[in-house]
Amino acid sequence: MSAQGRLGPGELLQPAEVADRFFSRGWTDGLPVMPPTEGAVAATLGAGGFGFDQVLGSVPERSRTVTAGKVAVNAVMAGCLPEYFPVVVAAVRAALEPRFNLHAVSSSTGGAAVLILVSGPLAERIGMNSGANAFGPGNRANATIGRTMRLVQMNVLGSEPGLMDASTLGHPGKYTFCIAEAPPPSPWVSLREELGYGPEQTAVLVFPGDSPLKVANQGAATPSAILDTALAALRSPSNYNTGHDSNTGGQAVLVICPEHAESIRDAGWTKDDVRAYVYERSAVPRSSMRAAGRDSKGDGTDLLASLAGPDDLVLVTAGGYGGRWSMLVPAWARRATATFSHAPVAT
Amino acid sequence: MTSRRDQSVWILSPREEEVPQPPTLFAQRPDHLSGLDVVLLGNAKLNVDVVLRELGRRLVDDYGVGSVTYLEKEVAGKPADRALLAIVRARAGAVLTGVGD
Repeated sequence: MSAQGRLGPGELLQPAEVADRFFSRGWTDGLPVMPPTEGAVAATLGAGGFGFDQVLGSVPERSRTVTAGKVAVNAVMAGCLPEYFPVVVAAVRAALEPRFNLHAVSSSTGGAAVLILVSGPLAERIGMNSGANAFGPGNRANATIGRTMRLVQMNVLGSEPGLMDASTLGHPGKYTFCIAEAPPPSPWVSLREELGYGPEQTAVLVFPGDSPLKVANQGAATPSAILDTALAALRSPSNYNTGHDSNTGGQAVLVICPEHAESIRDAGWTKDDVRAYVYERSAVPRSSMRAAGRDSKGDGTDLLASLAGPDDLVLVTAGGYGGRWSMLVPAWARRATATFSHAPVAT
Repeated sequence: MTSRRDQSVWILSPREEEVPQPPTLFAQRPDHLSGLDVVLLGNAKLNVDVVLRELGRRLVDDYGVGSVTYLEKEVAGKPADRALLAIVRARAGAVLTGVGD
C-alpha cells in the first residue's frame, strides 16, 4: 500500500488485528500494543509541536536516523498519552548523545536497560509516580514512557533480541524503567538543578542501567550506616564495574527513599557529602574479588575501583514512606564505555 | 452493516529502515601472508590477548608472516579511535580483528 498522501508508511488494518500482526513481525516487546493510527500519532506529535520527519538524532553505528514521527508511532503503541511525548522526546534525545553510546547499550550481552529519571514540575502535571511503588506497576506515565524507549530501540534502531540485542539474560527493566524524582528534603537540591537546569524546568536523565539492587536498612538512622549499606551493593564483586581489569570504575544511580533521605539530611549532610562519603569508600580490596571468584588483573594495586568518581554517583529521591528501602542501579559498563546523559524537556 | 474493509484504518509502521549507505571499499585482500607485517587488533574483551597472541604465533610459524604487532582498542563498546587506526594503517600489510569473549 502506498504511503502517498499519508503521514508516513504503513498499511490498512483493522485495529483489532494490530497487536497480533505486530507481534508476529517482532515489532512489540511481547505485550499487546495500541494501534498507531494516523490520528493518534498526529495528536502525539502535536502535543510537543514536532514534525513527523523532524530528526531527533542518529546512531551512526547502525546507520539509523531517529525521527519524531517514528518515536511517536512507538509511543502510541506503548500506550502513551500525547502529553507524555515531550518527556519521551527528551529521553530519546539524551540517549542519542554520543557519550551515552546507545548502540552498545542496546546490543551488549550485558543486557542493559535505559533507566529514565524525570525531574521537574511536568512530571507531576502528567501524573508520573515518584512515590510508593515508583518502579512497580500501576502508573501509566511511568510505564509507557519507559516502554516507548524499549520499543524505539527495537523498532527504530533494530535491537531484535538475539540479533542486535545480544543480551545474555537482559533484566525486567528492559520492558520499562522510568520514574519521576520526588522533591528532595529541603535544603537538598533537585536532580535537575544539579544538572544545571532551573527549578521550574523539567529535565530527563538517562542511565545505562544494570539490574537494580536493594539497599535494605530498616534500623539505622545515621548517614554513614545507611550509606555503608549502599556501599555494600556498589562494592559487590558481582557487579561488572567492580574490580574491572581497567581499574577505572563506573557510574551508579542511588535511589534514596524518603526516610533514608530525611535521616541523612537531618544529620546535616548535603548530597555532595553523600557522594564524597560513598566515593571515598567505594574501592574494593583485591582479596574480596578473589573470594568471590573474580581474579581481576587490575593494575597491581590492592584496591580496585567500583565508582569512577564522586560525580559518577547520581542521587535521586523517590519512593514511599513506611519502609526504609533504597535502591542502587549500577551502570552496565565502565565510564569509558558509556555515561549517563540528560536533556531538557521542551515545554 | 459496515464491511470489514470499512473498519480498517491506516496503521503507521514503527520501523525505521536502514538508510542505504554508499558502497564501502574494502581493503584488498593479500594473495599470501608470507613476509607481511600483520597487526592483530584486540577488542579489549577478556582473554582476547590470549587468543590473538596464539594466532600470531601460528601465523609466523605456519604461514611465514614477517612480523606480528598486537594492538588493542581502549574500550570494547566503542570503535577504535582514529589515532589507533592511523597506527594500524602505517604498520599493517594485513589486519585481523573481531575477537570477542
